[in-house]
Amino acid sequence: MNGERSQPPALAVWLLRHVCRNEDCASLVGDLLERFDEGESDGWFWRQVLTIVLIRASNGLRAHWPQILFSIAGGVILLFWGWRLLIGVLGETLIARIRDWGLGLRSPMSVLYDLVIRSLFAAMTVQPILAVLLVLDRAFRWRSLLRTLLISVPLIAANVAAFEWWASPGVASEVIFLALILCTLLVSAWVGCQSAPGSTISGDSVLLATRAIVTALTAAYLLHASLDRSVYGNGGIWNRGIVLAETFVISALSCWSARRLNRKYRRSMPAVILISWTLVFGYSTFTYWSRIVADSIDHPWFRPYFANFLLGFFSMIAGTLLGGLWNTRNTGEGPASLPDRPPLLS
Amino acid sequence: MILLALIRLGDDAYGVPISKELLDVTGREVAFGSIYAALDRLQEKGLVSSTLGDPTPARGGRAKRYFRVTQKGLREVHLTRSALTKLWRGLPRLEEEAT
Repeated sequence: MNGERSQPPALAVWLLRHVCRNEDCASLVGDLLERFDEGESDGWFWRQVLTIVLIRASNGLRAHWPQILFSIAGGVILLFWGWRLLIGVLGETLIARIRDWGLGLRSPMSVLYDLVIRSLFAAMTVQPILAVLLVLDRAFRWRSLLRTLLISVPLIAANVAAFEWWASPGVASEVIFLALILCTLLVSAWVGCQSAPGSTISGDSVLLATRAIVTALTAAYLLHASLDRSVYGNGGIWNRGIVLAETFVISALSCWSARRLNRKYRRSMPAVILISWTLVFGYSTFTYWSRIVADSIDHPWFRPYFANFLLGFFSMIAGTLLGGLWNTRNTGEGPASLPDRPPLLS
Repeated sequence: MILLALIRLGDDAYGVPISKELLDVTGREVAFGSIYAALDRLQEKGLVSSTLGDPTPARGGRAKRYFRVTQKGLREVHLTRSALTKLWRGLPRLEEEAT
């Protein structure tokens, strides 16, 4: 063995490390290093690494052909027709009614709703392609379709938002849009159709995380609605007290229900709900209040109005914390109490 | 060929000896990627089983993966051997040319 040349080419090792990540591959890498240590050349090491890369790539393409075809076909359809194909199936009136419902919401919920609905329609438009391809591959699972849909909706929404708000018009942006949407659909289908054999929905991390996000956003919306009601509610002290109590109870119930629905994330649920509220509604609420403070601080009604807001805000926070932390210790809650998924290789 | 190499190597059949065995017998270097791809396919078919050894510092802390032919694999080898023997017996002219 040559003592001066004991290290394989760094770039090849880097490539190998990114191609080979699992436990089985570690043995292959160990074999390569052992042979290299016995005196093989750098060229030999590179040939081995490139062969591994090619074999892994061809295996990946062969194993994921439905996902690749889905991304190409879906990307072209979304580029040229968008989600308008769905109008032919569901009817223009129904789709318009669903979209119009969001117009009644306050900003930024109305914008978010429209973005999510359009992305959902787009994702639903291309889902039948994946279903057909999975049937042809004899790998059709409803759970795979649902996971793909859940992953693709936020990714498509991010693409659409980026292009509507920041991109400049032109052919180049269409090419970039197609590339991004291809990647979006490929990633969604690749991850979505990759559930472990024997796994159930109760142990499915994508579905659980999606459910947690949806319930957190719903709870955040309920908190916002109850806070609005307590701030703008009129009447005497008695009525205001009742409205504040309502805010407290609605916040507590929302957080408690969200926690019960997401047992895996129950400890972090109050924080997730409050962060969701801050991200979605906090900006508009605090902007509004900073304007009020700037314009009306000298007004005689400002103090009671502001005190009302603070009381409502603290009722909301207190209710959320109570609902989120109630009885946590007695029930022995926590991720450790959940049964672990059995190892894939035993 | 891989199954035969595993049988010849016995308990010491992991990547490095397998590649050396194939090099000795065929005179050609077979890439590790190809060997492992074939072994993975054989394992999926139940013809081969594998176990992980202890990690060693000489291999960068990576464990050896030892392969062993299963009973089903042995039966498959015997079947292939008898099929090949019958096929060779069906080629009298080639045998005459060789002698």
